[in-house]
Amino acid sequence: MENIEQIFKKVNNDRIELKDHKNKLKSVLMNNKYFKEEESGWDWKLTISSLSFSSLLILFAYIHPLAYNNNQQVTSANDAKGGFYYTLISSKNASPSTGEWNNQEVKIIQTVEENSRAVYYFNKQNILVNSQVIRNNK
Amino acid sequence: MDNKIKELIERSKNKDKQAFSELFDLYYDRILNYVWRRVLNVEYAKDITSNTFLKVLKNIQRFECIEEASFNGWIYRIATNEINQYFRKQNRYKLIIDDENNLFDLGDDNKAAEEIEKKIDNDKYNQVLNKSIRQLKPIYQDILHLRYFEEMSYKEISEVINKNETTIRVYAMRALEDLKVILNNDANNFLETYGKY
Repeated sequence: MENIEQIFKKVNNDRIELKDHKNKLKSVLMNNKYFKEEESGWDWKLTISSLSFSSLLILFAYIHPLAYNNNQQVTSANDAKGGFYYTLISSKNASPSTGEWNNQEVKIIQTVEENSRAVYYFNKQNILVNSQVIRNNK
Repeated sequence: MDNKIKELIERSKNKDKQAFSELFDLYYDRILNYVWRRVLNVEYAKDITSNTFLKVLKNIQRFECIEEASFNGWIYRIATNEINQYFRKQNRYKLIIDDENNLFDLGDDNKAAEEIEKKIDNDKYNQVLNKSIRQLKPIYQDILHLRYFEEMSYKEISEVINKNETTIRVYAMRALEDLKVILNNDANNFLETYGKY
C-alpha cells in the first residue's frame, strides 16, 4: 500500500495551469445574467394584488354605507340585501368563525386562494371593520 | 468553514461580483486539476470545469453553510457529478452556456493543451496509475482521487460522495486493495516498462 501511495504522491506533483481559460471563464461568470438581475426584496405580484384588493375593500367600505344613507338603516339594508358579509359567507372557499378584534366581538371569514388567504372581520351589524391578506408559507 | 470563504459565499449570494471572483480564484486551479486528473483530456477538463462553476453560480443562493468544509464538499460534489456525466456521455458531453452573447472562444489555450498532453504521454506514473484507477468501480475512482490527489479528509469525502464516513473508509481500503491487484496483475509488463514501483 505504501508503494501505491508513493506513486500517488509523485503524480500529484504534476499540476496544470490554463491562465487563458481561467480569465475567459471568469469573464463569462462575471457577465452572467445572475449579476444583472435586480435583487427584488419584495414580491411585486403579491403586493400589487394585495393593493388592488385593499383598494376595492376601502372603496366598498365607503360607498356601500353611503348608498344606503337615504334614510335607510345600513344594518337592516345589509341584512335584507345580503351585503358584503353575505356575499362572502356564501362563497365556496369561505370559512367563518368568531373572535375578538380591537376589543370587540367580531365575525371572522377567511377565504383561501392559491398563495394567500384573506381574513375579514365584521362587527355584530355585519359591517366590515378590518381585513388583511396573508401570504401562505411555501 | 473558513470565515473568509463563508463571507465570500454570503456576499456572492447577494450578487457581489467581487466576492464571487475571489471565490473563483480560490477554487479554479483545484477544480481544474481535479477534473483533468480524472479525464486526462484538456479540452474536456476545460468544459467540465466551466460547467462546474456555472452550476455553482446558478445554485449558490440555495447553498447553505451548515458545517465546516461544507462548501468544499459542495463544489467537489458538483465537479464529481459533472465528471461522472462526462464518463457516461463521453463525446456527447457539452459545455452549457445558456447566454449566447457570452459564448467564449478557448482556442488560445491550444498550445498549453498540446504541451500538457505531451507531458502526460511521457509521464509513466500518470499513465500507469490512471489506467489502473480507471479499471476500478466508479465510486472507488472518486474516493481515490479525492483522498490522494485532492488530499481530502474522509469526512470531506463523505460530503462529496454523500455516504457516511465509515463507509468511505471501508471503500477507500477496498479501492487500494483492488488497485494493488490490478497493478500486480500487470506487474511483469509494468516492471519491464517502468521499473520497480
